[in-house]
Amino acid sequence: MIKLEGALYPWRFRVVLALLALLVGAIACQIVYLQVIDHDFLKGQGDARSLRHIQIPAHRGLITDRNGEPLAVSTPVTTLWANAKEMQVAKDRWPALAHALGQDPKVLTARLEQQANKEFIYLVRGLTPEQGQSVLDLKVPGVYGIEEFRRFYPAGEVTAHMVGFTDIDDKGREGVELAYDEWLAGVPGKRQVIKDRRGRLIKDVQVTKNAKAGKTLALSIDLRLQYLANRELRNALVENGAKAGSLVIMDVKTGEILAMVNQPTYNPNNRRNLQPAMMRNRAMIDVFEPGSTVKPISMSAALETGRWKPTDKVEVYPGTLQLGKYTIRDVSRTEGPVLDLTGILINSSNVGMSKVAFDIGGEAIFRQMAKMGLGQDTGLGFPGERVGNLPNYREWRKAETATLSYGYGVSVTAIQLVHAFSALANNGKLAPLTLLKSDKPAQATQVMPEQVAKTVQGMLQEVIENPRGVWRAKVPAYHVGGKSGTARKTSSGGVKGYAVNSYRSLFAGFGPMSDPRYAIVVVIDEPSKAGYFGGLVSAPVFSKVMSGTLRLMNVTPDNLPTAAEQQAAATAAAAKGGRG
Amino acid sequence: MRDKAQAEWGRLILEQSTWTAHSRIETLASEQLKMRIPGAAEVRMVAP
Repeated sequence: MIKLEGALYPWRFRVVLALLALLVGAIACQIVYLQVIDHDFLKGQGDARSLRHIQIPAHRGLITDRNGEPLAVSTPVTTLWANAKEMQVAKDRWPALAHALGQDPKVLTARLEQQANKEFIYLVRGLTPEQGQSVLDLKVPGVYGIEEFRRFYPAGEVTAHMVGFTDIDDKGREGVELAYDEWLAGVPGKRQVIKDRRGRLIKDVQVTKNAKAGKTLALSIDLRLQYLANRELRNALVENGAKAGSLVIMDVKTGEILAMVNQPTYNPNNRRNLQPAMMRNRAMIDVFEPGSTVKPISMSAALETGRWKPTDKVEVYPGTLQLGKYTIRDVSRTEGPVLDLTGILINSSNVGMSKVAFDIGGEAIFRQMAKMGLGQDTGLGFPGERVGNLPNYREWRKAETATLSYGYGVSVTAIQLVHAFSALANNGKLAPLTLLKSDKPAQATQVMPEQVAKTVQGMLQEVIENPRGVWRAKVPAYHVGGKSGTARKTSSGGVKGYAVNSYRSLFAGFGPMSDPRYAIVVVIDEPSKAGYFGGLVSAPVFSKVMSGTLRLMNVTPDNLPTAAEQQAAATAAAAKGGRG
Repeated sequence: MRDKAQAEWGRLILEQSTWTAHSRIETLASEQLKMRIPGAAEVRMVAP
């Protein structure tokens, strides 16, 4: 302790001492304040200036067909970007960089000079990781890489409409990619790093959140059938000079859609020349009047009333029927002046069908069609899917009743038509449609008595196998059933009524008749060569696709000559040979 | 590590599906191996 006695001005000394103590105290306070009380705020501010979170992209889930064949796969790619400001210091390295990128050195130099004050420019997007790494290994100042995923579609145009595609940010834009985006997308993770003022990476701190990969999605489609359907539809379009077309194959017991193809289509891996017409998933978004293809449904309504049996006769002479100023016409000449119900289907007689419809009333047909899903929501939730239109009237007048019975004044999608036929094929049970592979048996609803459905099946088999039937739809070695249809297209561009010479050729059918399993609908839009009747244009496509489907699905042929018959033929041939 | 394996797997899947593309197999089968689908008359059922 310093002695204060004897000092000249002891109070001055005390003041200095007190001031010093005060200063020490103030510093101590400040230290406590900064280190204890304000610590979190300051640390946060520090981190905000150096700590960065980098997103770890999540691996998008795989889309496969029902057998696990990949339809959409994400692979990691490297995107190279540059800080053009930083790059200016090492201009001598530019030619080497251009060489590694496979770009013209002059072009790259020009670009870098022009954008010299930009801090972020893409050099190249979507390189394979090896290519990307080899460029990064050059260590050109200002060149960086980021990891991204790119989606590839191995089946390309064959599944384009069904699967859809993602945009450059890996978000679903069309088709299943959009409909099930959440399921597929996964959750991106986070990585903490320290960066300097220029944004250069100093230190990798930690992974704060692991990326959660998206889940795999198995679709109901079978890629083999999809290929088959696509090939036959494309050939048919070329052969008939048609504008567009769709084809749907469905498993009638499970409600699964086994194939859905449309033409024209596009390559989802290279979307540079994409036109809107190519992107239309016509099977779901184009609505059309189903024409004669719904006659079996009207017929089932007639049979269900119990007032009609297949052998009942209806007079169709003279092939026209006058309803006020409206005339119902049969398109082709019928077999005779009087037809039974099967004959009405075989000859596709509008007059005969209308007379049956007048007897049972329009509402019965309306209810049958509605129950079978025509003009109703399919519940698939596919982007852009249309519902169509099945009008209901308070009072069913003759004109409305007649037109509905032969498929006009109602509009449906190809998917709805195949769904309705699936109920006929599945003995009256309608299984809800699904685009996903299902392992549970479908919760089918009985929409018509089993006996009625079986009767219609027999009639539809006759439509194909009768000498006057649609022989082009026959399938070798199997019994199949179906109905053709031709619908005039309504004119576009504000003109009322139907367009001249513009038709849709339709065919809907199923097989094998011993135990119907597969239903197929073929729609061909505006065939311009040789003809336009559904039985001429669409039936051969049905035949080829059904034949391939039954073979690929290992269905036992139900229309082969029996072994005994074959044996007999062989023995006969041998005996003949022996004698000769 | 897991990412790498996943990336590799994705590439292999792509490669596999390129080699097994249906159009390619079909061309090979019909042109090189001269395969075709038998007609109804040529099919004999072994078991009913």
